[in-house]
Amino acid sequence: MGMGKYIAQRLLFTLFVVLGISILIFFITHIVGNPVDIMLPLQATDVEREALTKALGLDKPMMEQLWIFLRDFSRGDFGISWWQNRPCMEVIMDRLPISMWLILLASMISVVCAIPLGILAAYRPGSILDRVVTIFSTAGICFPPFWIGLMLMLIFAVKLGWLPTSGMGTWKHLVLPAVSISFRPMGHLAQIVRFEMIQQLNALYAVTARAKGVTEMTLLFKHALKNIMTASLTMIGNDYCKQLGGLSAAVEVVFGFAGFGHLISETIENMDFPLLQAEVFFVAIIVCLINLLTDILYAAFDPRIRY
Amino acid sequence: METTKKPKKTSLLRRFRHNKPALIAGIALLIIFTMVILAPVFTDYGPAKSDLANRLTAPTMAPGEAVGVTQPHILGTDQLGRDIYTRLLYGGRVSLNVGFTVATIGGIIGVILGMLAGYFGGWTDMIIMRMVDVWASSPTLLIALTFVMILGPGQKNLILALLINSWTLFCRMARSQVLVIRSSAMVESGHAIGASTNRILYKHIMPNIISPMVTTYILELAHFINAEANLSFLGFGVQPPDTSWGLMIGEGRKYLTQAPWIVIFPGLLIATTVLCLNLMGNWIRDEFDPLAVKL
Amino acid sequence: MEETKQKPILSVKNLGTSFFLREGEVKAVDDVSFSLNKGECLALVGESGSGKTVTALSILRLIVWPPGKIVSGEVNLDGVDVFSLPMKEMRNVRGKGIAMILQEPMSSLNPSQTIGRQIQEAVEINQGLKGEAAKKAAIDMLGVVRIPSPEKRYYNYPHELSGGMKQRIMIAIALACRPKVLIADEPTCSLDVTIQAQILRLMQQLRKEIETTILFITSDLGIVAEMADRVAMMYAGQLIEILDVYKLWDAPAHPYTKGIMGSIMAMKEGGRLSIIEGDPPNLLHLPSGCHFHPRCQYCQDICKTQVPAYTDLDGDGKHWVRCHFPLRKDK
Repeated sequence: MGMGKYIAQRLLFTLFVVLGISILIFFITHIVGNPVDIMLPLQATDVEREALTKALGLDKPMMEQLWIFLRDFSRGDFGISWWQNRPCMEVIMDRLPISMWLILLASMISVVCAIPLGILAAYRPGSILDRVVTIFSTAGICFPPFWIGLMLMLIFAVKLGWLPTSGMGTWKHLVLPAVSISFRPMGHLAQIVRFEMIQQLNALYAVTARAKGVTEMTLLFKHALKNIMTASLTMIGNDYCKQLGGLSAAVEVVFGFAGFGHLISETIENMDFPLLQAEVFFVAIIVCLINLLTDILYAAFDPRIRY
Repeated sequence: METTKKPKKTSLLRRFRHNKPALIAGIALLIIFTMVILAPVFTDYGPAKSDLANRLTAPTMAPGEAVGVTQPHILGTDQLGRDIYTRLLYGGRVSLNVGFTVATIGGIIGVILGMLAGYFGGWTDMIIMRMVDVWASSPTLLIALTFVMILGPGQKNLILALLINSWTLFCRMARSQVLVIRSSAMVESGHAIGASTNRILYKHIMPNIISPMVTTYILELAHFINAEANLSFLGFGVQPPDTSWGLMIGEGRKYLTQAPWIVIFPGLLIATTVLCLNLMGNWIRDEFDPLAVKL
Repeated sequence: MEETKQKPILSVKNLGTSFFLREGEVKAVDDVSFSLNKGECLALVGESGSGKTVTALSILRLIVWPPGKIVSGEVNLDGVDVFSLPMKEMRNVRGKGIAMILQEPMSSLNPSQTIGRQIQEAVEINQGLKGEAAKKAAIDMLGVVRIPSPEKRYYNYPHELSGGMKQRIMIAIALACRPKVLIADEPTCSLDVTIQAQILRLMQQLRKEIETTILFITSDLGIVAEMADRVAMMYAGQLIEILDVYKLWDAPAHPYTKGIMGSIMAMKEGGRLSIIEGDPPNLLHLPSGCHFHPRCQYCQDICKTQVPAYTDLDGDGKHWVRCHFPLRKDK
C-alpha cells in the first residue's frame, strides 16, 4: 500500500541524519582541533605550517570549506587517507565487508542460542531452569567481550590448538571473534525473549487458545513466537549497528582481525581525519538502512503494521 | 491502603535480606567500593611501583621480596613486576570514577530533558524526542571516538566522550514516567488548587519517578563501567602509568600465554561489579513493580 | 422434582482458588459449589472482583501459577474428574468439554493470525477435521455467528474488525469446539449498548439452535432475566445464594441479593435508590465470619465470628443460601 511512500520518507530521514552527522563531524574536526597541528611535528616551521594549511584548503573561509566538504561527499569523494596515503573509499572497502559478515555471523549465533534459551526460561518462570538462563544471560552482558575473546583464545587456540589465535583467511578465523561478539547480544536477546514470551503466555489470547484445547507447544511456536519477533528484531538490528559502529573494535583487535572495527581504532591512533569522516559517513548510512530494513520486516510479523 | 504504608520500610529491608542474590550482590559491591576507595589501606604496594626482578610472578602466598614489603603477590605481578592486586584497587578508582561521573551527569541531563518533554508536551516534547530519535539512529560511539581523537586520550576526555551517549535512556524513562503521572488525578487537582508548575513537578512528579530512575541509574552505571573498560582497553582512556581495569587487560594481553593472570583478574572484577549492579538494579525494579510476585 | 434427580453435566464442589501475592494470600474463590444440568443456563452474578472469572478459569484449570493456584475442590464434567486428569488429557476437557468466551474481545484474539485460522484451529483440534474440510467448517462457523461474506472475512486479522465482530468471532471459536458446556464470561460488557443487544440476541438464538449448557457470567441483572434459568450470586469469592431466576425478584433470601434487587426495583420505580451501604470488601483483609456482615443491616453477633454454612433453604435442593438469618418471603 503506502510502502513506497514510507520507504521514500525513511530514505529522506536517512539523508537528513547522514547530512547532520557529516556536518557535526566536520565541525568537530575543524573547530575543536586543528589538523595541521596534529599532522606536523611540534618543531615544524611556520612556512611548513602555511604550506600544509593551503594544501588542505584550511585557509579558505569555514563556510566554503564546509561547502567543498559536502560537495565532495555527495560525489562519493571522501578524500585521501593521511595515514594510508590512498583514497578513503578504498581503505574502507577493504575492511568493511568482512566485518559486516563477522557481525552478521555473531548475530546469527546469538539468535540461534538466545531464542530457545529465552523460551525455555519463559515456559516455567521462577523454575531452576529459568534461574540458570537468567544468570547465564546476565553474565553474557557483564563480561567484557574482549576479555571473553582473550579467554576463548587462551582455551581453544593456545591450550587446545583447535582454532587459530589470530589473523584472517579461513572460516576458522571467524569462529572465535564471532563467538566473542555474540555473547552480549545473546544475553540481551535471551532476556527480551523471556520477558516478551511471559507476556505472551499470560496474554488473554493465550487463554482463548488454551480454552479451545491448544497445547502449550502449539501456543508457544504457532502463536506466541511470531508475536515476539518485532521486539527481538529491534534488539538484533540495534546491536548490529552498535557493533559495526565501533563496539566490535576491541574483539577485532584481540584477534588481529583486519576488519572495520580494527580500522576505526587504527584511524584514531593515527589521527586520520578524512578517514574518520568517511567512516562515520558509512556507518551512519548503514545504520539507517538497517533500521529501514527492520521496519520493513516488522510488517511481515505484525499485520497491524502497515506503511 | 494507608495502614500498609508504615511497615513497608522495615519489610523492604527484610525482603532485601531474604533475596539472596540481591543480598550477596549488595555485600560484594560494598566490599569492592570500600576497597577501591580506601585502596592504600588495603595494600602496601604502590600502583606504579615496578619491580623488574619479580616480573610476571604467578599468584602466590609467599611473602614478597621487594624491599620493606612482605605482602605476598596474591594475584601475581605484571610485565613490570607491579602487584596486580594493588593495581586492581587503584585501577578501580578510575573505572568507578568514570562510571559514576558519566551516569550521574548523563542522568541529570536526561531526566531534566525528559521531564520537560513529558510535562510540557507540544513543541518542547517534539524537539527533545526528535533529538533522541536522531541520536538513536546515529553512530554515537564513533562520534565519541572522534572527540577522543581530537581531544586526545585521557580520563576527562573519555568522560566527555561517553557523556555523548549517556542521556537518551534517562530522557526516555523520565518522559514516559511523567506522562503516566501527568495524566493522573493528582496533577489535575494540583492545578485546581492553584499550585505552581514547579511545585507540582517537585512535590508530586519527582517522588513517583524516583524508583524507575534508580533502576536505570544502576543499570547505566554498570553499562558505563563496561564502556570505560572497552575504550581503555583500546588505549583511549587513562594513560600509563595510571591504570584502569580495561587498560590492565589491554596492556597484559601481550603476555596472555606466559602470564594469563594479568588479564584474568581485571576481567573477573569488571564482570563481578557489573553483574552485582545488574542484580541490584533488577531487584529494585522487581521490588517496586506492583505486579511482582512473591516466590 | 425430576430435574433435581437428573445427573448434572457439570458439578463443582468446594472449589477454592487463591492468589499468593507479596501482601498475602487472596482467596479469590472460596468454597464454591454448584452444578449445571444439561441444556440449562446458569448465570453467575456478582460485582467485579467477586471471583466469577476466576471460578470459570479454575474449572478449565487455566489459573497461572505463579501467582494463582487451585487449592481445593473438585470439578466433575460428565463423569470425568477434571482436577485429577494429567495435563495432557486436559486438552480433551478444554474445547470439546468446556469452551469459553472471554469478556475482552479486543485482546482475546491472537493479533498476528487471521480470524479464519483461529476458528479453524478450534475445528481441527476438536472436530478432527483437516485441511479444506476444516477451512469450510470454519467459514460455516462465521456464517453461524452472522458474519457477512464469511469467505472474505476468513482472511481478516483481528485489528480489522470491530469489537462486536470480534466477540462474534470469539463465540464462533467457542462453538467450533462443539462443547458440552459453554462458559460465557461477560461477553457483552465491553461493547456498546446496541452491539450488546445484538450479541445477546445471537446467543439466545444459538442457544435454541444448538442446545448447549451455558454458564453465563455477568454483572448485569437485565441480562440475567433474559438469558438464565437459574442464578448463582457471588460475593467476595463465595457463592452466597443460588436460586431459580423467577425467585430472584420474588424471594431473595440473602440480604445482599435483596439489597441489589432492591436497588434495581427502586430505580425502575423512580424511587430512592437503596444502595447497599459500605464498600466492597478488600480481598486481602476479608471481614471475619460472614464476609458481608459489615454492610448487612440484619447483622447479629454470630455473623461477625462464624462463617455461615451453605444451606438448602426449602429442602428441595433448589434454593441454597449462605446466611445465618436468611430472609423469608413472608417476612
